[in-house]
Amino acid sequence: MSWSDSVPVHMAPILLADISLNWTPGDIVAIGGSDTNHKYAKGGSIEFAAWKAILLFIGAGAIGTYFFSKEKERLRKQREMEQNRSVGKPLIGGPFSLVDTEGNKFTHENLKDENGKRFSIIYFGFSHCPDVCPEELDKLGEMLTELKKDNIEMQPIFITCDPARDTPEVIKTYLEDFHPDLVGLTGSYDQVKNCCKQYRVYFSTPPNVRPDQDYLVDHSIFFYVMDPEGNFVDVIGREANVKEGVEKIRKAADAFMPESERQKKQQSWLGFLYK
Amino acid sequence: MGLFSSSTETEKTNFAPAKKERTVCWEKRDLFFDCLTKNNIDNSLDAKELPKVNSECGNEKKEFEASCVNSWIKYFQEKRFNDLTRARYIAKLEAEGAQPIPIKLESSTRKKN
Repeated sequence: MSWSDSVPVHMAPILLADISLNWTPGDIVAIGGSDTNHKYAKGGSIEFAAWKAILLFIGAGAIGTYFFSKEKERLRKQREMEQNRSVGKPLIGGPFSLVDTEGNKFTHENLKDENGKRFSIIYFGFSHCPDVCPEELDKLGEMLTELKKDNIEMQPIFITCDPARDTPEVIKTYLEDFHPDLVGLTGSYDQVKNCCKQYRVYFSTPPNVRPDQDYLVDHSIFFYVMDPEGNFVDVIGREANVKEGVEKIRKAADAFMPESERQKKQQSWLGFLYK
Repeated sequence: MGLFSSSTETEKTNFAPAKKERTVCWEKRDLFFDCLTKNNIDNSLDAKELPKVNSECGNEKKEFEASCVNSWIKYFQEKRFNDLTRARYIAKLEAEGAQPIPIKLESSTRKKN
């Protein structure tokens, strides 16, 4: 019996092609044998192997593309932040010295996190604020809840623009209405003024007011996002909703790389990617 | 008048209105403002409007003033008038075919060239 008898007609072209590729003297001998037909009996096996290869190819390609585009996006963000950094010292933020609601000293050093993970978000306001501050602080609370779900560590800070009335005690009572993580800061008029200046915060207390008087303080409304090294990264305005605010912080947290790691990467052979 | 002087405890340390007080104040404010809107009163602080405010929304005004701090009472009324003026101005501009310029605060992209 010859091998062609047992091979279905529709298989022939594939077989021919296959054989022409594997044409060795050894094969000629084996073809005459009865069990060699077996080799071609499962007609699908060749296509199956090809399918596996194609699937593997597509799969590897997809995984590769996914990682590449993800990494590319991350690098793009990092480069962007790096560019902003290299423009010079950020104009927002700087040394300040205030006290928290427990009477402990709190300075710009307290914004830094030695584990390089915790971001800070700073809001300037005053406790007698009629509507904007409470709304913004509620918004902050919602943002913090969202960020906690993503395991993004945050240190929320409230700094008063009204040190005359906002003593540590007053701020402590005021902040009880808001997120429990909130750190409230105050200080002498000059200390607060200096801090506001560092953050380019405008505020105006009416002249000649006594702490027991009823007055409003005009001030700029922004959240300042500070990275774990205490550097300014972004600002969230009043027009941003919870989702947009969270997105900004998440983006900053994704792109953040500690100074030491940044230098290491720039010096490595892949350094050109980070320049 | 107001919350501070009504409570003797707050005389010494000037505590800010708590959430509960704030919420009550906001509710009374909204009721008062609803009444003003219903009676077509734009500026409730305007001396010319005062007789109308007192005759049409006297009760709402009294409750609003009793539930809020003095500085807030003035602030909210000024703000309402400013917001109304602005909203009308924008509406007028839009009616004339003006297009809003989209301005968004995007600090992370501002230094891109």
